This record gives sequence, structure tokens and C-alpha cells, in this order.
Amino acid sequence: MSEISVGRPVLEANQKLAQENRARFRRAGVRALNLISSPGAGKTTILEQTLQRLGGRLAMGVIEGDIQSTEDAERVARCGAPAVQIETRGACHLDGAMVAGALEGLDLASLDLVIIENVGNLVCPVEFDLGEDMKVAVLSVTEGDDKPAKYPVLFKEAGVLLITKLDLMPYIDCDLERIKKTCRQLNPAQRVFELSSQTGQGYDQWVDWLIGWAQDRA
Amino acid sequence: MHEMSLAQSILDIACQEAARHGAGRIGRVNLLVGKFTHVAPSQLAFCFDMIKKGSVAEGAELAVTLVPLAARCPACGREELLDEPGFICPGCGEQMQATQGQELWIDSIEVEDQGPAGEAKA
Repeated sequence: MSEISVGRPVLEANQKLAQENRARFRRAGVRALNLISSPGAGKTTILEQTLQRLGGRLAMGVIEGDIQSTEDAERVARCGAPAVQIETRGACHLDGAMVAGALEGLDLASLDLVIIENVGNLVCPVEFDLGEDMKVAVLSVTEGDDKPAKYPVLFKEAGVLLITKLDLMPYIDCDLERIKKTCRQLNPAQRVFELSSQTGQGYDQWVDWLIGWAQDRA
Repeated sequence: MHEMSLAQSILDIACQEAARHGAGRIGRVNLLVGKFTHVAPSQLAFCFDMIKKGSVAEGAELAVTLVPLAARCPACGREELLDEPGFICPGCGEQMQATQGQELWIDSIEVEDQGPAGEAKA
């Protein structure tokens, strides 16, 4: 037996595809976000609400990832955004190859921003770069204030945290400060927005930030 | 269950490296896994054992070395091994950068010296 030194990342094949996606976004002057949460946190509702409030100030396209069904892409398309659905047929996360395929269905030249909605899952999607500029974590208050401590990798990697369903706070036992404190420990530079799609709380700030970020392509 | 796709990548890379070096069967794949990843070594080994059959890695063991999480403060230079993930410098309060603990690397493979075609090791 002899030992051969390898020194190669396990995910190098995905990394290469993600870098190609990233270059493609950059050439087209498009910024990209990778939206990650558990199932039912409200990712698609956030996209709908965001599109309605953008009012054409930003040309936004959407890539929807689900294990099955095209319902989410249809919901987003009804808000007027070009949307492509990826059905992973069992896979628990999107990867660089799936996003490369989906990009064939989007006219990047006409867009400023692409939001990729990952498969609902706080674990697997974090390991797979898609070529995005930034990960955005979504956490609904009904999931509990312990989630950032239990799934720290996502909450560290995410440049933005969207805390959703704030209108339900009177009915549940959730310590918002604990969520924010844990996330500060993991990523002090993270931007946090507190949202309610029912009352509209926080959306003006989030949408203003999004427009500023998407237009800053330096 | 992303361990299956990881196991497939590990198998692909290990077999490529063995072929590239004209090596024979792979006896062991040495993997570095950071503690600050969502990779479960036992599930990974289970998946690897399922898919390795029929390849040059059929008899290979997947040996995982866990790498602890460590961070360094760019402001004051303080270095910490972290049992719990927290990236605010206990010395000066600045944001620390992880220096290890996020690895997912094939470090090396252990192989029989002679390849199937009998060529010498590169």
C-alpha cells in the first residue's frame, strides 16, 4: 500500500458549475440571492410580497426549487416576474447544475436580480454553492427561537436574515431577542429584517435594502 | 440526505486519482470533515459502502478525520478553538473569521501499487 496525496474538495464539481453560474450572472450585470429556510417559513410569500412592492423599480426573475410541483413558479409568475421551476424529484437541495439548467429559461439581459428559492430545508442547501452573491435565511417565528443555535451553519453563512410571521407573536412563545442574539454571535455583520406578510410590517425596509443592494454592482 | 451526492463525489475523485497514478485497488480514502458543516460521517460511510461496489474502491474504507472549528480575529490577532460556534472576538468584540472547521476535503487515498494494466506508479 502507498499513500497518494489528493487535497481536493469533495464538492469541486459543484463548485466549478457554481462559479460558471456566478460568471454568467456577473457578465449580465445581474445580482443573485439564494433564499434558504425550512418548509413553510414563507419564502414564496416573501417573493410575492416583494414583487408587488417593487413595482418595476427592479427587474427581478425567480428560480423556484421544489422536490415536486410547479405551484411556486406559477404563484410568482402571477406577480409578473419571469419564473422557472426546478423539480428536484427527490433531491433535498438545489445544486449548481440544476441552476445552470434553469438559467436557460431566464433572459438575464433583461434582469437586475435573480432570487433562487431553494428547497425547504435548513441543512443540505447550505453545503451547495449555486453561484449566488449572497445567501438569505428565512426564519418564521413559529419555528421557535432555538433554530439558529440548532442549525448554525446557515445562520452564519447568510448575509441577510428575514424573520417572518411577526403578526403571530402575540399567540406564541418565541423570544425574538434570542434569535437575534444567536445570529449576532454567528455573524455580527448580518442584516436582519422583521417581516409580516399579513400586516406589511418591515417590507418597506427590506425592499429598499434589496433595491440598493441589487443596484450596487461594484 | 445530501450524503449520497457527497459519497458519489468522493468515489469519483478517489477513482480518478487512483487511475491517474496508475494505482491498483484503493484500500482507504482519508477524508477531512470540518465540525462546522452539516455532514454526518456515519451516514456518509454508509452511502459510500453502498455505491463503491464494482469500482476500484470496492474494498476501500472511508476514514473521516473531524476538524475542530477555529477562528482568528483580524483586528487583534486572537485565535480561538470554538466548541460552540460564536464569531465575536472575546478580546476586542470584532468579527472573527473561521480558519478551520468547514473542510470537506479528500486528503489522500491509500492504494495498491500496481494498477490493473500493470503500469508502474507515476
